[in-house]
Amino acid sequence: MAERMTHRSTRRRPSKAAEGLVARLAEAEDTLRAIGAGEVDAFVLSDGEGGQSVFTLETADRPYRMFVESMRDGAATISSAGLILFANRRLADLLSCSRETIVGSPLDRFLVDGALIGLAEIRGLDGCGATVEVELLDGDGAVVPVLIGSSPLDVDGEWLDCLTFTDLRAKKAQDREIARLGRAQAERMTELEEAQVRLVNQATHDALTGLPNRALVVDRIDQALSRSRRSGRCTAVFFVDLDRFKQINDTLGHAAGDRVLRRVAAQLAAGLRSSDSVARIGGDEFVIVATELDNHLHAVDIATRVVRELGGLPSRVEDGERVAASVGVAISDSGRGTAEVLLHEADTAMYKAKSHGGGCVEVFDTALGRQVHQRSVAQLALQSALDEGRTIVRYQPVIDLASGTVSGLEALVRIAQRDGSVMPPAEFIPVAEDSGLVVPLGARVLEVACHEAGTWPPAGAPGRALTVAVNVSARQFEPGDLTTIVRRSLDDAGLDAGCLHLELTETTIMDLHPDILKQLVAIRDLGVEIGLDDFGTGYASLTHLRRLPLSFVKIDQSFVQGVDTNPEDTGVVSAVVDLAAHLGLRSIAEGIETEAQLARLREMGCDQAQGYLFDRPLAPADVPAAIQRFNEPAV
Amino acid sequence: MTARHDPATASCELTLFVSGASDRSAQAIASVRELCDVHLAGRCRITVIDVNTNVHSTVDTSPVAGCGHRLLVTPTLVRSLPLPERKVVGDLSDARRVLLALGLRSNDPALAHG
Repeated sequence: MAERMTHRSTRRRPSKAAEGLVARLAEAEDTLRAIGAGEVDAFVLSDGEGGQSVFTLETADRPYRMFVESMRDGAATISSAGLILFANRRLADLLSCSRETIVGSPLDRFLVDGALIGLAEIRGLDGCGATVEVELLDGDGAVVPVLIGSSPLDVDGEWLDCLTFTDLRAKKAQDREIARLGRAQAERMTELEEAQVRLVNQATHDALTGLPNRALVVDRIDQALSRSRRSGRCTAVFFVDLDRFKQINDTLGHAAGDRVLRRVAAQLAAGLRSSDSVARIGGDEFVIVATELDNHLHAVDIATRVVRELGGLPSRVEDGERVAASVGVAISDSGRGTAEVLLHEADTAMYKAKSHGGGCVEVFDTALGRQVHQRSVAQLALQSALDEGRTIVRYQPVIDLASGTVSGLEALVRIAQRDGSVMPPAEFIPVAEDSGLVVPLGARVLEVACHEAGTWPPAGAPGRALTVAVNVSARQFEPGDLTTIVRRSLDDAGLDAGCLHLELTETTIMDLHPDILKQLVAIRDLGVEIGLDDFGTGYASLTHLRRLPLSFVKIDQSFVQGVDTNPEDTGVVSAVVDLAAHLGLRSIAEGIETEAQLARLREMGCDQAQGYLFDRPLAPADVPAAIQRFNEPAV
Repeated sequence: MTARHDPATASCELTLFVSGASDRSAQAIASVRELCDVHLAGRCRITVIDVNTNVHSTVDTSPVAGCGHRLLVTPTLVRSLPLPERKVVGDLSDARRVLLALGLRSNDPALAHG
């Protein structure tokens, strides 16, 4: 058309106005042709005052639509009120809903937790858009995690929000898988570490009892020795071997034997301080390591306790066979020696204990070891005597020097050995004091003596009953209930309190604790007389004599022995007798053996005496005859 | 000398009106770019105007009878300079036809004298 016009214009050369009109007509014609041929995509209508409207033909935005529809992400526009105005096909897929359902619905409807993740958050708090991870609820009720990206959109003055929805399901699944692999990895690592710990444990522990094995205990001993080298204290190694264990295994079977071993292991472990260790190093052999001990006696105490506890264990085997153990002790002062040396010494000592018949403690043979050994033998003997009721009480008459009659008897404790022999007090009293066994022992003697005294015939002097004197140790005051024990012993025996005398050693009152004084006063108030034993050998002062609720003093036999020959002894005894008289106390001389001693004491005015001159300590059965001999005038 | 004053071979300014990124508009942009690069190389400046984002008030468009409004359709290619203004509407893919309608001569001798 344009071509034709050009030809025309060159032919005729029309006027300028006509030329403009022709051009416009040609343009209009061209436009109509283009519209007719479908070559245009939009009409723009301007009002001549700066405003314009654009009319886009329906097919014109196809690429946009195709782009939006084929996006990998869901897309939607929402109104300011939160209604979905447009949704692409992908969003319909994500929500498993038809597009008709989605468009016009509030977006909230598809948010799992609309209350928490609100529109404001999706839009961005500053209104500039945001990226938020949310969970959508699809038409089937399934949860779809998505990432929503929003951007504000101004469409002809109305603010819309343009949203894209990125499906996070695959990513979440991947994250879960990574986490699962991570956990599996961590579990595997833990398993490996545990396996490693088990391996180390197996290498250092005994499988049956769970106790450390020889390798570990050697290490523990070495550690204890290095501590001892710094502290200067003792380390003790105890070799514990069960007696007759082979017999248990042979007669009852290995399962029973294993049970015994486990019980023994538990018992040994239970009795330890936290710093000590116990190990099983062979069939029925255990090793205990005790660290930082104050002295050898402490070690012996531990060994003695082990023997006793294993023996008295409820771990008696089913047929009543009693588990017994032999313990060998090796002691290192200030970290002397090595683990191997100590184990060897303890092993040697244990074999010696076995050779003594088992059930006992043996300390590796050094000079000190021997001394300690005697201690341990005595302690075990004393303990078993108490357990088995083999304490016996002898009674030595106390003679009133003025009348020559028996005024009372002193109760003296002895230990009957299993073989029938009697252990002298010098062997077990110090042990009883050190170990604290003197507390049950003293209570027992008090009980027995009161009981015996209740059976004695009346004394020679009319209206005066025979008294019984019982020794009391400082340690018996420690539990704080001696008054109760005294009262109970008197009540049980039906004995008058005035018939009971308690004798204290000077060491008891040396450090006169207010609590001991209180108990003494309470006992005196019961009517019991209290006296001071072995006077002159200890540290008693005149202050003590005045402050204590005393009725008598006993002059030690070491002074009495020389009273007739040694002027110094004579002077001491004479002074004590006078002092006692002035303080209103009776004086009693101990250990009289000769008539000359007796005569000298009489001269001095000593009130009472006891000793072999009159009678040795008597068995209860012999007491009545002796009383009769002294108190009834010879016919 | 005559060539200097001949509008068919002078430098020109072209303005292309399109509507967004529709098929036709995209095709029109591609056609005009080719036109400039091949036939009018070195003597042509083009401006592309998207009617959706720009007001086209500088162009003398057709009055619409009876309402005082003026109408533009897209795509439309306008030869703004040299004057007088010339327009081509619709399909711009036929370079020979477009050049003829705009009164411009191609640099390519085959087309220029064809």
